[in-house]
Amino acid sequence: MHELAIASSLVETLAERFRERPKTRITAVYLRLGPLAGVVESALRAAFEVAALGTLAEGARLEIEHTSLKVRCHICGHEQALADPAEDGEDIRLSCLVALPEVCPQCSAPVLDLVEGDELDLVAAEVIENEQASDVRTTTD
Amino acid sequence: MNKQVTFEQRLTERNDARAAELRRRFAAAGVVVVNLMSSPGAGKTTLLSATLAALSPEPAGVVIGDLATDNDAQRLRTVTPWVRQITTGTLCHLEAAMVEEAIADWELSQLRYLFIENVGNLVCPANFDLGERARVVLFAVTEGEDKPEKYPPILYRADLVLLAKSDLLHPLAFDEQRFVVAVRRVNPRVPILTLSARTGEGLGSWLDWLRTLHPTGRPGSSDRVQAS
Ligand SMILES: [Zn+2]
Repeated sequence: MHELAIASSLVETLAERFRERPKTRITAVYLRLGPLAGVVESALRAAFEVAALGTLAEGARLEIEHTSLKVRCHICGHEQALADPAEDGEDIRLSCLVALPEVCPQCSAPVLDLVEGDELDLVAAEVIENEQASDVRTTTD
Repeated sequence: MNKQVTFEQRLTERNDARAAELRRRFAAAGVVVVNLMSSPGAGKTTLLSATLAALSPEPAGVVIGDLATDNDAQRLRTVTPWVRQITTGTLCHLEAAMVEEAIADWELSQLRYLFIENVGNLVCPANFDLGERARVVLFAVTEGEDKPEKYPPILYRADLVLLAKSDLLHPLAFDEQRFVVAVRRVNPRVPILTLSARTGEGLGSWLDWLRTLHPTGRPGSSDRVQAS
């Protein structure tokens, strides 16, 4: 379950960015995930839910954009994106291999390098700077 | 009011930063660090024993990540005094901070090589940079020709693929070409070396490859190059 380590790191990064503004609440987190990221989406979602408990990101929505594989020919430089991004990392481990072309469609060179597909990125977060709500809570408590 | 805050960074940024700092330290100390990854039982420890013995008297250290036992560390202590075990418990991979802590009191400049024997697992370690100079993924002949197909992420990032236990190629009728094709589909240009720690076959090429990792690499010190 390395997804838990990754999710914890994500939550720490988020907390660090808003350290000076402790009343900030995160409502959504935007990620970019490639088929070669080596991360299973369902495991990452479950891990994030746990890692976010009691933090500013508790209950935040995870919005995950899946990227596809891109190969480049090292002879002619032709680039090609492969098929549709799959739904979950578990499926991708096998399916991306099946999808890889054996030769360059432009010059038939036999060697294609994977140049994109290992994205594991924190793109953005959607936040509420929740001054009022927090004030209300402290007075009613 | 909702507002978008941009990050645009790797999810593993914190570990990556730690690893980058380690990489600077390793380079400054002149030690070549190799992150060795495989499934459990593929033969990492056996290979390392043979490698350290063959490299001797060049000083080499080993950091071993293991879920619980100390057996691998005990075996390696017979070939080098520089052995540290990291017991990861339930954690399925090593992280840069763990390596940093394990070697905190070592004078790195005394070492020429440092091998990190990662936790036996070909999935989880793929995401965690340890500050290594090179990532080596090891498969054993006993694991079958198609094993690489199941682990594209770790292969994609590999600098070298080793096919170990080559003394069993014939007994098991292992189709080496099929193995090579499986690796090449994910990583078309990664070098692949076949070797056996038991018979010593291929060990020379592996040592050559290690020596090229030094900025002052001396591939000429091996038998293969001398012969040519
Ligand atoms: Zn081409």
